Amino acid sequence: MSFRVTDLQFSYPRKTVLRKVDSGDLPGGRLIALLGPNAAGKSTFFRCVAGLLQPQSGTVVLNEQSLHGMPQTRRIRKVCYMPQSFASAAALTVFEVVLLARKHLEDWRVSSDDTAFVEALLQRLGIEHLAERYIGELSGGQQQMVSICQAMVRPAELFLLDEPTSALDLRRQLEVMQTLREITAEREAVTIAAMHDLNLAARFADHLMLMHDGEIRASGATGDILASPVLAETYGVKIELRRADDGTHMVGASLAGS
Amino acid sequence: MIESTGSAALYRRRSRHRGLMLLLAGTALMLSVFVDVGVGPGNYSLAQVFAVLADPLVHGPQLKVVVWDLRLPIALMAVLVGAMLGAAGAEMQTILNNPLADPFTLGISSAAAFGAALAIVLGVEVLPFGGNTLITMSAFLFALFTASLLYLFTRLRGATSETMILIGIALLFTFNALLGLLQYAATDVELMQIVFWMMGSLSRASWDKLAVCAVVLVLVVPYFLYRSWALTALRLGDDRAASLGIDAQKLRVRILIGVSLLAATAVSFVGTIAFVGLVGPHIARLLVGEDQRFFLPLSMLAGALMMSLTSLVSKSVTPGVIYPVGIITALIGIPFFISLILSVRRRNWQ
Repeated sequence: MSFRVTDLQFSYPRKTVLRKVDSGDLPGGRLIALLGPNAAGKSTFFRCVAGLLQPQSGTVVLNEQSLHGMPQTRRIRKVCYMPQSFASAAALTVFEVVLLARKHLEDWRVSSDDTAFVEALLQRLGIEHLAERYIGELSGGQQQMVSICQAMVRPAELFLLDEPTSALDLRRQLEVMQTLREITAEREAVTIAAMHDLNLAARFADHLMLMHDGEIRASGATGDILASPVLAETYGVKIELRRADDGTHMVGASLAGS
Repeated sequence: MIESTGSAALYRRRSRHRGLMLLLAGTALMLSVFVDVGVGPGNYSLAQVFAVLADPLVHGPQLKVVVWDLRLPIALMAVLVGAMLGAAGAEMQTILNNPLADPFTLGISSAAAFGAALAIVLGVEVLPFGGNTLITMSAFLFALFTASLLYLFTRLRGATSETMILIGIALLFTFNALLGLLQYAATDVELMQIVFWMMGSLSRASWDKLAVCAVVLVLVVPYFLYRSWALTALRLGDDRAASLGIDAQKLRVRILIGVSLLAATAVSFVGTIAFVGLVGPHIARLLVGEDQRFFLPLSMLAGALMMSLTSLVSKSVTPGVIYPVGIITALIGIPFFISLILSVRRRNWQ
């Protein structure tokens, strides 16, 4: 399994969002964190790869297959994109919306395999107790958990998760990242999570990509990127790197002038 | 056997429960149709009527005409029109993301009525036959035009569900005014026909009209059902639907064509029937939620049941008099509509 984006460019009529994105070879089975300041182009990058936006140029290759020109119905089975927002007040239960994400490309009938798969995933992410609740009744964090389930229930090869932990409490953040890491390894999938929390990325990601101004500024093993001066430069902050007792990196950031 | 309490088992139990709801609604509908056929002007006993249903000429030709040419077509027309309006309302609410949407409140019914009236006045009599087809076609074109107009409005930013209803009311006034204009120009015979369209009445039901309704239902509803998952996903928002690989805009346009066809056919045969397309889906949503595989069939059954009961009421209030059903559904529907606007039970919408 591998994934590679070369020379990806995307502009809206009056604004260039992605100048030239080269991801390098990204291996399967590893959790990759996509870092970068607001408006760096992370969501646009995801949307271009998922086929929701048409890039002006560039190639996207997943497992030796070019995604360019692939019909959307086939592409959607290989690439799973999880958008940021989740706001719906429909009369649908958590179980139903997760099942929906798995079933909508398949046949009409729901088999016991489908329901068992959904149940196992809900258990794994610790939200089985919410299964019968309407999605409109959930808190923001709970909705985000449902959104993650909706993504991971799909049998894709590439998962693009846009800020999967932004609304979660501390414990949930750790649990979700741990679970994503495990699932990614089990399925040998390529999982890229856009995120803002450097410490969370440092603890769980095997690989970091740093995006700024529509370009990938750096891409590499977590320790290398964290140690590189490009990180501080990109965010415009001072970065202090420490090692915790268990060996993981801890990132302290402060404003450059202070 | 110990019942498992895992979420998969709970989901299956919920699905069985929903299947049961459909079965119950279907049974209630059948009962209502039987009573609807059994009751009416003429004071025939239920036993006589059902004997005629089994063997048309057992009580002579007069009763055969009453049962087979009057009561049965009317009772079945109520069912088909109710199902059409229920399906149209359910999908309009889904694709426009608007709890107040139905063919009547958004002006599609009045547009279709105007289209029908225009065809009547401009000369159906020019054609030796096929007049009904022309009326239906004209009603459909106006319904489709109005639906497209509404669709364009939803594409505008800031068109809330209330704004949409106001636009619907504006369309309603417009087409009513145009209808008035036609009435002014119409001959006496044409006027009678137009009034029939404005009131909404089942009294002109016939077997060939029933056949047309059935064909339209058979054409449109399977497509709606086929797109069940996609339509359900639409309720999660366009962004989420797109991430699941659904082209929301394309889906909306196709569904809107189906909805227009359903609404226009219903209106061109029985006139404007208010609120059935609104109330039916709301009852369905309350009972089975919005998984379209259950929501759409139950919306149709609820709409059909409501129409069938209305048909029953329309001839039971005053003995010997059959009121136009459109008036009755409007009187029942308005309090429901207002409570829907005012109520806090709008948690399923944004």
